[in-house]
Amino acid sequence: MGKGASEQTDAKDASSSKGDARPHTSEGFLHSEKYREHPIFKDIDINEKLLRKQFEKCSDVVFRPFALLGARKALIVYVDGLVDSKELEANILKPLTTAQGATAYGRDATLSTVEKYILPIANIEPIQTLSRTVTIILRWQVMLFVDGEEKALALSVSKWPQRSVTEPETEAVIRGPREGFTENVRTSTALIRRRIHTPELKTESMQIGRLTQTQVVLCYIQGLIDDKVVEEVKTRLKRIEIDSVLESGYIEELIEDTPWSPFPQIQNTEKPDVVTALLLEGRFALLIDGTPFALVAPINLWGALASPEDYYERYLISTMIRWLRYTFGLIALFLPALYVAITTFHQEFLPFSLLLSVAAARENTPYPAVVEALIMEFTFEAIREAGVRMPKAIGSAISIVGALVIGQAAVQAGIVSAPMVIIVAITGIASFTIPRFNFAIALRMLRFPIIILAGLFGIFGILFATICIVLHICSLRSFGMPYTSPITPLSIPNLKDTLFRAPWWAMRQRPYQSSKANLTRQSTAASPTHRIPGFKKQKEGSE
Amino acid sequence: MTWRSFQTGFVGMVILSFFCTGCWDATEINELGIVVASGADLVKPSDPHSNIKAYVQVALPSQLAGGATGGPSPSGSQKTFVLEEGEGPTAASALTSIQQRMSRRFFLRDRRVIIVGEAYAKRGLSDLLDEMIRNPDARLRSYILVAHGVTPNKLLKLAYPLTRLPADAIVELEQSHQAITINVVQFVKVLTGKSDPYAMGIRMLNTSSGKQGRIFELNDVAVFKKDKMVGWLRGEASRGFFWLQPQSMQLRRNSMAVPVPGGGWVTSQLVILNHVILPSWGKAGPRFSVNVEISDDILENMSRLKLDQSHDVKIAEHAIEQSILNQIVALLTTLKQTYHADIVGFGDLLFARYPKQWRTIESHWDQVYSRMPIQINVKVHIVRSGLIGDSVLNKSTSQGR
Repeated sequence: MGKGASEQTDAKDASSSKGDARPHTSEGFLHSEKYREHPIFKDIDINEKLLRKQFEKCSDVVFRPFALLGARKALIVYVDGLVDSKELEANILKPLTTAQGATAYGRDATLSTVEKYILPIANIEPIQTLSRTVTIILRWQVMLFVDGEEKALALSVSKWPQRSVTEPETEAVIRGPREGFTENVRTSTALIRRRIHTPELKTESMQIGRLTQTQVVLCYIQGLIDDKVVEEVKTRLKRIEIDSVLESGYIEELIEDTPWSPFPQIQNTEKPDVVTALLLEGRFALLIDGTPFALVAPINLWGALASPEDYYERYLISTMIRWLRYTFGLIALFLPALYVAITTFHQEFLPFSLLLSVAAARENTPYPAVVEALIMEFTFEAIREAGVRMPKAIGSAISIVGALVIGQAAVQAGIVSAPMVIIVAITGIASFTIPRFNFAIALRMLRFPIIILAGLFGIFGILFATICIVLHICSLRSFGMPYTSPITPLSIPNLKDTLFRAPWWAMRQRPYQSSKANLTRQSTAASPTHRIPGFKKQKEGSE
Repeated sequence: MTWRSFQTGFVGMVILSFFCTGCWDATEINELGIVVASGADLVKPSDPHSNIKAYVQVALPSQLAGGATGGPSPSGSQKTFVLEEGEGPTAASALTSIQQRMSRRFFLRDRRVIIVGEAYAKRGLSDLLDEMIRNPDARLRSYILVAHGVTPNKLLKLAYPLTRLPADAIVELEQSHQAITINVVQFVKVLTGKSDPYAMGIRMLNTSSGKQGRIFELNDVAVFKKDKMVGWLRGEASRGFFWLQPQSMQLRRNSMAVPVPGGGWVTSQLVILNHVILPSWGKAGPRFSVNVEISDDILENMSRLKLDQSHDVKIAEHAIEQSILNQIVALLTTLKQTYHADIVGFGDLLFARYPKQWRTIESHWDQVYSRMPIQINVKVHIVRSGLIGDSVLNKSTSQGR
């Protein structure tokens, strides 16, 4: 896999050295050499003519000429639908066209007067070049041109139909906050900022995607995160040259460490509380405009098997559920393969009565166990996939068909054996216990080669596959951090949050993996030693 | 070779190896003939040089498990197993001759019972044992039983009314703590030591109501001299063997009725059994002391003894002691005088304790054994006699007065 990473960088260098390979820019003639740096014309008619030419056949771009304070020619340009028309009327057109302003500031008030005294708008920016105004208009702002001025004003009154903050359907919890990010990146940053009250929470913004100009916000907490990681992620983001970024998946694939691995190395989440918790562990988050899914890295294997609820429920419950997940994670990966291996090679593993039952069930089946397992697993995946895409009303129909066809009819017709159906069902349930969808998918994919190996070599094949998987996982890195940390490399204090979830009063330090700078999370004040009278067996904490 | 070309070569070899396999070791579970019990006997019991007949009881899983198609089959109406037989000069060849006729491969790992005919046992079990030890498929924890008064095939053919497979019934009987079990490993271990092995006998009986078919009974102990059977321990002697077996620690359910002086019976049940067999070497050669210490419950008191009084308890204890002593004496007399076989394991104990002196008597151990003095001490403690004390009968009469 290390080989793969180096090849990737080679490919990048090669493409950037060849100028021709760059994607064609489609930014219009105002961004060409001739006009790029040209200031705004004093004559408003030329500006209007050029802009109208630029926005030819764009029915949603509105040109609205008027007389500024009843005297000078003025023009506002904006994209209809992305601007709050009520605010536009009340706070821009009304003060600029009524006589009140004229009596106070004179009829020929300059643009800077307008900016300073007349417009009740929070976000105003003077713009110098015509090419920039095109960008601004497309970034959902209103451009105000005034005749005789060499600059124009960008007025931010953008508003468009938005989904409100709702509970994310992909990460439902029983206990915990129900807020989820929305497609608007500002809402997302607001949800995080509302939770962390420190100026050290940095939200660095950048645009990625030549045509989509998607806003990507890099969030981290300075002082908790390793600065090298921030540098690394910025370098990787800057390297991206792509025409569009429509979802965080684009970015994920463009910046992950090992693109050939089935295992996700960057976590995605819709939940602001998850992002906040991970930021506080010294990780960074990427919020991407247009999608509610944020990316978080560096992560490790155990994080992929953890749910936010682990930290909200009491620690005993969380620990038990965590072990349940670990067990069923292994079952999801190995159970069908084990069944195949045992029934075709190692029948002596089975207790006598189980042997009889399995032998009886397999008496009439036409296919060998491997083929049967592969058919059933494929069918199960197909039913799952069909169910995901269907509307709820049809989804239940699919589950009925699936249950009847596979569970009942196939067994009765003697095409598959009943134990195989049980195995597939358990495996299916097991893969759904893993909270992260993309991690569960990775396990599901790996199941098939393991089944084939088990059919060819028995337990030996399973062992071979296991060794390969373990080797691969151990070689994985997430932004330079070992994927299996803190088991390998072993860090005993951090095991508190892997094999079991220690109570909060015991987790006094942040994970060593991601935050080396500022480890202490809390003092000993709330530990049972101090909290419970008579609990003085331990020595007083050193801190 | 560079690392990279090594890598490519390695991956290539791994991938190519997938196409070379034909899954030659693979056997689908439904292609197995699951052997649950087997038997061996001489073709002509009177002729010790005759061929060996092997019997194999193969389970029919479809009849046993019920499955989705049929539901549980009514017991008795359908056969749950098939009995096949084959002949050959040795046990292994007889088994092979069956395999050649069978469409399914033998699966010997769940063979839990081996029944040998009496005539075959008397000729010697060495070829059977050798085959079992050598065959990697065979399971060494199969119980060895000697058919008593019947041929093994009659026992193996019998449909036991209580369990689905007759082999299950035999295993359950073996594990019920009523029998002294011995499996292949233990048998071979004893055989390669300084002592002689034994095996439980199995007999066929009619059920008391007659019509419900026949059942097995495990009783009597077959005594072996090396690998050859020499005879049976019956009655008192076979019960005496219980007290000297390490396994009989588990013989919890064993109760015995003992006549007590003054008339009536006391039935006691074993709670704890400790026995120590101590060798010593005097001038006259080896001698043994057998110490048996038993804790008993009283199950039933049909005598005039008042068991809440220590004097009467002593009388009862003494009666039980006497009865056990008689059984052990009967055992040792039979073994020493009649069979000259050391199934209790004195030889092993002596060799472990006095390895040097053992060499001096090894050649004529048989004679030493039959003349060797053995001192037997039996101590019985009644630990729980129940709160009633004396018999209910006594109570009622005393109240009547």
